[in-house]
Amino acid sequence: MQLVQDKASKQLRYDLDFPELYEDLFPKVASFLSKQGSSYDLARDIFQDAVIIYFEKVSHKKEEVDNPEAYIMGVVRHLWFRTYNENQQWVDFAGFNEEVAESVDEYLNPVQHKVMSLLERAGRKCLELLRAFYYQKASLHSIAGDFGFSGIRSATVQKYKCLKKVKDQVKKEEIDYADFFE
Amino acid sequence: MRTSLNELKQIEAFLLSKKKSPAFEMEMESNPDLREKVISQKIAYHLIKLFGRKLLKKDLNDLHYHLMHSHEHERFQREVQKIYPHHKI
Repeated sequence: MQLVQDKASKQLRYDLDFPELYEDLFPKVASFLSKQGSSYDLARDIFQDAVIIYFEKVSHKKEEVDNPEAYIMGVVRHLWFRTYNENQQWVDFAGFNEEVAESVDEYLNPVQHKVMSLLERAGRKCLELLRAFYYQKASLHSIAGDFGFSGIRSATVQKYKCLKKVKDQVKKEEIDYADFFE
Repeated sequence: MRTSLNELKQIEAFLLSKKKSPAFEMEMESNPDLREKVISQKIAYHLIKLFGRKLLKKDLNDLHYHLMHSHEHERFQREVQKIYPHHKI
């Protein structure tokens, strides 16, 4: 299991201590959600989605979060609101935050899932490599080691070749820009 | 192939850097072919992000299972059981 593996393992790791965060915050989030009437499974699901949104904020957008617990609880409230608001429109509620609402909107955009199968055609190894670099933010040095490349240069070339495969697939399938960004 | 990789690299620098190059933006405006390539690459990054999310979600599910079943995390399990007493581990 990638998130709880031995630190000596060669598997790529995220630059966030997920086990500690999970152990500390899931009971707090579950306690809040159970009082709102959430099932156990839904509480787990909402918490995990909130953790992913938090990870992307700090790791991808490089934004500092002074109080991770408060941020994650805020995202949980927004996700809970969206789950139980049938018309899916934001309205004012205690703790509403426009920036968090935007992140939640982007995360929940259902159009995205239609095209996920296209990615598989680029090949598993390519996807793992691209994920390591662009999502997990692993260094090219560690990617070279983990994927068996002779060095950073060779890992870089392979990364671009894999990116080209995905890009060619996007072009071939005529995926529309508006499906994602408008 | 080399030219094509260099082009990917240039587009990546444009899309992923916070400070956009005005020269590249101008070139895009006058070159529809380049603009199309930039859009395809932007979508490709988005798809990679979705793939990353999907696997991270799976990793978090594995972590949840581990925390709920490993002897080292009995305190965590007790806390969760207190909140959801009817949930069977």
